[in-house]
Amino acid sequence: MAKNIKLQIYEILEATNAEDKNAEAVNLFLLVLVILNVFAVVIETVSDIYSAYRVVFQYFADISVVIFTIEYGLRIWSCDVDPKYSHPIAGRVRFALTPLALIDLLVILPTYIMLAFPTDHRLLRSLRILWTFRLLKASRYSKSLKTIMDVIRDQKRELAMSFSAIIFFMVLSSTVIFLLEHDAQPERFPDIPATMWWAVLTMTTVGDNFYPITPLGKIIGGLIIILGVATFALPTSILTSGFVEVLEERRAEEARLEESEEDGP
Amino acid sequence: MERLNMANSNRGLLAMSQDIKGRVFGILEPGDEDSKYFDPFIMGLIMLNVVAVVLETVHSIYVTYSHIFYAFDVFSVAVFTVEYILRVWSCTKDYRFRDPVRGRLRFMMTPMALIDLMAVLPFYVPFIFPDLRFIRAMRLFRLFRILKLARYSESLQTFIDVLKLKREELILMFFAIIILLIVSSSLVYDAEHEAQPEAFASIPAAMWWGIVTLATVGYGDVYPITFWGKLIGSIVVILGIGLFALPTGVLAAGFAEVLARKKEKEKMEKMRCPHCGRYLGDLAISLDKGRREK
Repeated sequence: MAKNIKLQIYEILEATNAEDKNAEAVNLFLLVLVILNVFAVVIETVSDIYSAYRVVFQYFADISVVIFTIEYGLRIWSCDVDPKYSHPIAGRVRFALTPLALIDLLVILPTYIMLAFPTDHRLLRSLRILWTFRLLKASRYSKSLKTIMDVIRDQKRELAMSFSAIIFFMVLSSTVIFLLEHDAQPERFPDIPATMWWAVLTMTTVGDNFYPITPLGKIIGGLIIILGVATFALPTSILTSGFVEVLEERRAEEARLEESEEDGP
Repeated sequence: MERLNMANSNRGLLAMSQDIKGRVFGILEPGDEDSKYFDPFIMGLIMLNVVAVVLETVHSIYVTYSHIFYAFDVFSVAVFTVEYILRVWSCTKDYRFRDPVRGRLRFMMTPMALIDLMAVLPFYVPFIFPDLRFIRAMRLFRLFRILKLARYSESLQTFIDVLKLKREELILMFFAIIILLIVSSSLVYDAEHEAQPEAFASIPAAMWWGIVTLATVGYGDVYPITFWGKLIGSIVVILGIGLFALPTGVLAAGFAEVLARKKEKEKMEKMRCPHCGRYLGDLAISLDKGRREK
């Protein structure tokens, strides 16, 4: 009996079965709680609002932490259902060391330490922002999140390549610009790392009050802009084509399914 | 090594040195079993060198750790110099450079070998011309070492392949951009020169505005203020942004194409019989067809 309940709790909390309505409800509730908490952390930094609703914020944070503590306890208790963590102690320890479990612990623990020293620990409570990572779990329920993950996984190699091309280009161009501009603007371009900031601002086309002034610096800078903007935009276009590919595959699969249904008995 | 030496002990010194040369050649050539340890070592060294060049320009860091930077540079140059000499020595193993003198000279003229030379030469130059300004510029020249990565980095190779594949389109677009730039800068120069004789001092100066604006960077150091300047500027920007974005699209398409080809090639390699090296792709396809017909 206890084993059965344990299994059920495990399946609900780990959302192993996407069809299970109970699991979906529980996880949706937790998800909304996470979003509200993140929202609260953000809003709390506006001092007018915080001083007016201080008590509300504190209670909300404490209640959320209690709920997630219960959830954390249940997950640790039930995790030995999974064959991966089947050992009662070693398995549980290994489960507690998975990234998501560690994040939970990192958020929960400071709150209880705070209870021992009751002052205004807004900063510690803002650790709740880490719960955002729990949204990753929602990818089991959300098709669009799953698509994004699929695209990133498919284009892993291409993305890594374009990022290394970007870094290569950035290092090279900031060195050249540093060489050309350092003497003219020693404050703006004091060293290469500072010039890299210029390179990033320029090639992402953000642009700041921070630019070459010498003639040669402008000529080379212009070339860097033309080439660099294209290089920096590569990940965007790779992701775009990856999306198109994944969506097309999905559509083809759906078409094939329909076809086989028509063929079937 | 020992095994090699023992096997060749009765074949004389020349044959032995030939075998050592072959082994050295194998180790230096990237991407095979021989270079399993050498490749990561040299890549790590190159990357550390780049980090060192970048960090050295930060004055406070350089002052504190200058002796470490110097020691690291000496070590790297020693390694890279030995590597370069060994490469020139062993290149005759490649049939393209098999002639001991002319082959070696031709090898030394290849882009990769020139980069290798450029990576170490700046270190030795100050010993010959001890000029201080020169030395500072030479220190930065060490950044050429980053180009040595091209030999190992698949991504750089791919990037070069993409540029080669899309060369014509890219050149065409580059010219289109230059033409748009010249036309728009001349027009805006005409409109703005009188109102802002300093910012729009000449057409080349106006071209700086053109590039910064068309690439949507917008530093805000120069911008039109007259009515005509603003009007022409807006039209140019609306037309030009699309044109500036074109190379991105071409590059992305090129990337997709090159990588698709690479994947296809890898798939073909997998379809080769591991014992006799015969291509089994057609067989696999016909098997698949047979199964489907069933």
